[in-house]
Amino acid sequence: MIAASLLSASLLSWGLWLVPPPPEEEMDELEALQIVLRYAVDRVSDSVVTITTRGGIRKVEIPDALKRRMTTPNAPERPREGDPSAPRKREDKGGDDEESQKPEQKRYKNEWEKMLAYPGFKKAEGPTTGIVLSKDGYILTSSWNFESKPNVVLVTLNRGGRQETHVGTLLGVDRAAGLALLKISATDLAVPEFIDPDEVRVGSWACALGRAIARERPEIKYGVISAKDRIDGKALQTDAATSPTNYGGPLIDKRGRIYGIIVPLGARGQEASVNWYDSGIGFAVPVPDPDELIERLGKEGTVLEPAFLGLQMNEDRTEPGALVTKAIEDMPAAKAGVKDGDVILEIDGKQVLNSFTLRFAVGRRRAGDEVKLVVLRGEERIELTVTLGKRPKRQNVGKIPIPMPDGRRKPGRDGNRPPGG
Amino acid sequence: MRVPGVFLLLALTLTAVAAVESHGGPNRRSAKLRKAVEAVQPAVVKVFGLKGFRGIFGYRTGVIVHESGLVLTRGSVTLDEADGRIACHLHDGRRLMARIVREDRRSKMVLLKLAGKADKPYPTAPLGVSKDLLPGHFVLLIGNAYKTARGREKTAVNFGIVSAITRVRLRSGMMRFPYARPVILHDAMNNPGVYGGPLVNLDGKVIGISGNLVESRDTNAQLHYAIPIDDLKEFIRDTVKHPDAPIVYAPVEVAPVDKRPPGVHGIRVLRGGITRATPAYVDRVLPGSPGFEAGVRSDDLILKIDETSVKSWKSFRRIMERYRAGETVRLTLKRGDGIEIVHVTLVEEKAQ
Repeated sequence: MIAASLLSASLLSWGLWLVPPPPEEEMDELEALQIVLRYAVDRVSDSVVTITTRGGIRKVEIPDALKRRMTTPNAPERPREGDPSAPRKREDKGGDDEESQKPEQKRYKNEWEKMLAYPGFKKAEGPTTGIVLSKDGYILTSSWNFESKPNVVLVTLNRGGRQETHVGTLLGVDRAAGLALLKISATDLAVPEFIDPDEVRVGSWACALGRAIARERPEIKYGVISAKDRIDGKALQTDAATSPTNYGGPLIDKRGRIYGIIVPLGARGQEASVNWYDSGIGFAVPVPDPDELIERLGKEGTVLEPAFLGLQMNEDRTEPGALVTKAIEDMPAAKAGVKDGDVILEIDGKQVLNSFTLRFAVGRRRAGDEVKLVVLRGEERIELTVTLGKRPKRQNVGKIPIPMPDGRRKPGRDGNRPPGG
Repeated sequence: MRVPGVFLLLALTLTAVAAVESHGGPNRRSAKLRKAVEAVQPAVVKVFGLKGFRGIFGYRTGVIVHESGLVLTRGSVTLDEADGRIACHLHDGRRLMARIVREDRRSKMVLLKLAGKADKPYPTAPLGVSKDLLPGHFVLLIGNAYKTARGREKTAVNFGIVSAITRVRLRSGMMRFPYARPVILHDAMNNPGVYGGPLVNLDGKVIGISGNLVESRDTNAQLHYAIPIDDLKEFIRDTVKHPDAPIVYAPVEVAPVDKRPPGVHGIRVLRGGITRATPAYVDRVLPGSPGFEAGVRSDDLILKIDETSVKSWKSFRRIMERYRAGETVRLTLKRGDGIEIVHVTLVEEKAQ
């Protein structure tokens, strides 16, 4: 009886909504959108969890200018008290952007403490956000919070407004996508719906959700899907603001389905410092198949690396297929038999249109995966199976000392000169 | 029983989605948005601290909140040290000098008074009710585009959404920003010129005043916040009522010294090293101490003291110092893979 009345009430409300209101009082587009977003957020709210960590190495990004000051023996000393030229000590006025540029005025016990207190250079740290991946306690989040190797991971669930904390175990990390899988011993979790990446359209509305600061409701940042197939075809790009408060959280559509997990995938890798986010360029990694992800990352200690083929391509080629200019020696492709001058026509049964198709196809896979290539050599079609490898570490790059006029040696770009040395 | 509820929600969502889709996509300009800009923008002023402070010139935005020419804006050193040389550019192109008449030490907001006698009342912005604001509401942030809008150039309108309305432990530059009430976190583009600008809802009402760029003390993430207008209404009302009142509106209250004896809990945590991130692991618990009685054990990890998150061994000691003998604290502990909650009643230190 009650059900029937509720049903009729809902029908009534639906009916009222469908009747076009008179033009003067037409519902504003944005007001309607507000309602849509509220329901969308409510639909995933219980799947968005807070992840806190304890312990680990606190990371500080030291600006070059400060590093130089620290390592230069003749750095100007702090003015002594009573020195008329000393900067006046100001009252605490809350501090502004202008004020933060004068951090030297505060006194510190040692340079270490000064560095740790330097604003804007502290690396972001937890709490951060995660998303429920399965009913039985698998949680997906961004791996940046685990770079500092925390001792303890805690997952706070939200079940209908009630919070409960569980101790989580870090299982696998996918370094290529910046994802980490956690497991907690809880059951009956609210599992969200993921969108098939092929269904995503550029320009669709997108909301970035986080649960790091406000715990009652996820924080909302609003934007659109800016691009697909970014970062070697791994990520969606969005202009919704992403920051450490929503890394690991979902990027959702207006029906509350998940486009992907927000991760810091910038030009500078996975480092999440406070300097470069909030730029209108955010990334989310789609989760086409949660079960497959659990299978791949479900074993403790698993680390998936970006895949590497070891080919140099001719990017000017206009005909279909990717022309290999050089198959680098001892690299996966060369080992499998790819030779200079080959044209790659297919990868795993998908046609390769140009070198980018190939790059995206490899970018979506991980080191250790096998791919089947169809290669055209002269007139011959050859099938090859390549086991993708890890990108080799660049060696001797930037470490060649540059002689200086006064006999000192200036280290190259990645020089690892000890402080003071 | 649950089905109709779900159906209701689904029906509402679907109809709202239908409403959005039938009325056009993002290309169609929202009439509300346009009307909101028209309602507030005439009262928005560009504020310049002309003297500057150590070579930095003050760019701010203010909003006229009273027809006598009271301008609400975010305070700053560049305005304080401007020696009264603050210029305000009104939306209609007028350029008027202003002086600070009142400052709210808690929210860091100031009220400026436009100089000179106006022949007609200044345009004022309609103030809304910020307690009705919800996360997910769209907002506009109107302000001075930093180093872009000069002279008679108009203010800029930025679009955003309310991310959350919550208390946050904030840091502003080097300093803590101890604002104890909830603030509005939003994602509208902020810049030093927009600080002090009004946050406007779709109904064309001012619901908050934008603050400066701050960082969360918990995550080091940069946040854009606005002070809810409800918290500033009394400040404005009081200034209008008492034009000759002292400049400081709410002096920062100094907490009275608690003379009760400090509490003893008997929980010793492992000391950490220079990275200062060593979590608060219990090293040992003194036999017979309150911690012992409550069941705290060695190797427990202390996660929370009441509602305060304990990040390191140092913060455990610092937070526990605030509690006095006789008080009961609720400790959230991690023991093995489980979470335990114990209540520890602190006692007075026994005289030896």
